[in-house]
Amino acid sequence: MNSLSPEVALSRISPELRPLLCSVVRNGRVGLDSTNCLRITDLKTGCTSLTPGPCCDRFKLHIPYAGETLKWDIIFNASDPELPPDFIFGEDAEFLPEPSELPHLVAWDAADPECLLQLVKELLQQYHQYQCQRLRDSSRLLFEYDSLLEDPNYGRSMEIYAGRKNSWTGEFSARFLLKLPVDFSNIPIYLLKDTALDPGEDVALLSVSFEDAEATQVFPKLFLSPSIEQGVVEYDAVGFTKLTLLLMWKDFCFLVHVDLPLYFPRDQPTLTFQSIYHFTSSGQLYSQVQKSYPYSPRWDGNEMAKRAKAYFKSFIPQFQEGAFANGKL
Amino acid sequence: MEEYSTTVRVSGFVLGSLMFQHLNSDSDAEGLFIGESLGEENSKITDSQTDHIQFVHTINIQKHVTCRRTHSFYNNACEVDKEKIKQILSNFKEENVIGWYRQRRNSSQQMTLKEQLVHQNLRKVWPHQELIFLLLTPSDGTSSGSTHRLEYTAFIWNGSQYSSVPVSISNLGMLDQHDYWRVSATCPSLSHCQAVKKHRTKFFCSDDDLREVEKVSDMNDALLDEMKTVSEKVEKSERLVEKLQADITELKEAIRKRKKKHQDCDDIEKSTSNEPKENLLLCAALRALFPNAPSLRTQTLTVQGFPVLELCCSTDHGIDIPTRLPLVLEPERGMRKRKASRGGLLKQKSHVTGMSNKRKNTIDPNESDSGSDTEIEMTSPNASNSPVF
Repeated sequence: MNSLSPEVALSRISPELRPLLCSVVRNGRVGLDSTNCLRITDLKTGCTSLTPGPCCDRFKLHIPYAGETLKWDIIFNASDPELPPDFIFGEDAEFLPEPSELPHLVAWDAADPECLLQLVKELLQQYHQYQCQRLRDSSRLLFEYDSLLEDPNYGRSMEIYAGRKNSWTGEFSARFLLKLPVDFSNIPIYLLKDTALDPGEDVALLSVSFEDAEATQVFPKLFLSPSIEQGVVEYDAVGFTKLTLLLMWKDFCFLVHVDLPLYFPRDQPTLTFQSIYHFTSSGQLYSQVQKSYPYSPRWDGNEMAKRAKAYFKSFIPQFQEGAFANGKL
Repeated sequence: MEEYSTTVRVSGFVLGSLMFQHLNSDSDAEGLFIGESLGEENSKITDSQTDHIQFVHTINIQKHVTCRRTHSFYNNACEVDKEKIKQILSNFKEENVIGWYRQRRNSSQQMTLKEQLVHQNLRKVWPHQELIFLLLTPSDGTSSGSTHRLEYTAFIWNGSQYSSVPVSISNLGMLDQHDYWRVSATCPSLSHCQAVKKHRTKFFCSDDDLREVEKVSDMNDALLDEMKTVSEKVEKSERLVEKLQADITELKEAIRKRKKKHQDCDDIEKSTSNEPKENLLLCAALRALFPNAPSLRTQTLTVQGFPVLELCCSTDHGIDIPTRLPLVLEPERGMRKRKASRGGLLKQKSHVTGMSNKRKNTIDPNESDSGSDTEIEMTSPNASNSPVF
């Protein structure tokens, strides 16, 4: 699969179709996973080989969806660029959306650069409904889906992918991609080498894979947007009991290690502040452990994070003084 | 057991002309197919199954009608415009449309969203026709462009999804020669059609039957009529025969009854005459010889052996004694002679001897003379009352 950079792809596309693809490859973020852009591969032409280029008018579009990557063929007609494109939905040969649900197809406007992107989004919505329909093959998974649908936090921020039945074992698998309702507004500014690259929206996604129709084998996985991931140095991706954050306060960068005890939330997490500049006499990074800070097991996750953040703000000046006083650079 | 199969047949030159027409076009192309759809039911008997019915549906592509551009008979929502189709078809009839095609360069052999929607809507326009969709996908076989590849697949809606059906190319020489041709050759050229149409009426009737078939059919009808007439005649004669046989049976029955009746009467007579019958000749002889001894003419004796006089016959049976019983008279004469003289016995003896000699002379000399002189002893009628039987 020849993955092309957006510029290379655009250079090979027929000039009449270029504006449409430009918005797709540059601004094409669809679905929950807006960190990944839409990608274009396998550029081909419907013209004869004797036709001088650039004349590519058909390609494969890679769309991130529910932890999968959909590969849809999009077919234009370079000699008739006014016409709307045609689609082949890869392995989902049974997916046949209603034209009435695709207003950007029915009222295709070749002059509108956003038309193709909007059409892809509409198709993706129809695809999501098609996958939800396929969940009916498993009553257990359908129950899980219906339960999440009723929750306002997840109802509208969910992508479902119902895998195919294994023709050998008859097993049916599915994946739910949920957008976690986390407030990232107070996360520090994203630090990147290439400041021109837009990291996209801050998002935390939870992918839950059901390996069988009875949901006896469930595998969760957390995805964080780059800006969030940059702030998170490391975390326990299995038990989610440890988290290390790199934070900055008034140009002072420090690490905060959060350890969740075995009986969390009954027992209070341990916060370990660690300076990245100062060392102790034994050669370790200067750190201070805090076990008593404002905490209540009755708080929900967001409240706990909010209270912890407030504590950080109150404690950091004190920690900084201690690091400067007791640590060596 | 029933089996269904669908096959698409197209002649080599029709497919070749379709490919050639579009191979050099600078864009995707599409059009309509003209042809006919045939259904055939075959019944196969094998060792394992006695009832295996195979329904073979053959769609013959005879011609293609090209559209000038794509989207010429449907809109962005893939809704089909029947008027535009009629314009595209021009002189061809709608009922001869058996499908449509699309040539799509450098793409996969899979129906697209639009193709599925258009096909769905075409099926709504012609719900009684089995429509096919032929997808042709030319592509470069090699990166240098020295070899090109053209793949084609025919799709048909099978109720729940689109499935591919085999495409059979019929050329001048078929590789499978061992089967009989059960369907006529497909894809005739225009001039061929015109020539056939010109002379068709000589061979075919108005309803597309061969004229000979019609003639044979008429003759068959005439034969059936004749058979019907003859059958009626036979029936009448059979009925007559049946009636006559019934009459004969009746008559036989009547005869049998009459015979039986006579037989019954005879039996009755016999049964009555089982009682001892009278010997009329004896009775007459006894009357002649012993007219005064009626007891000699009795037929019934008592237990002690005495005649029952009441049952003695006193009837004159009217028998002519000289004629019927001549010997009865001779002893009478003899008795009168004996009465006359006793010496008459020798004469009688000699008479008897003479008679016997005479008899000897007349009879075979080898015959032994058994008789010595036969002595006829006659007793007087009054000598004894004991009857001698």
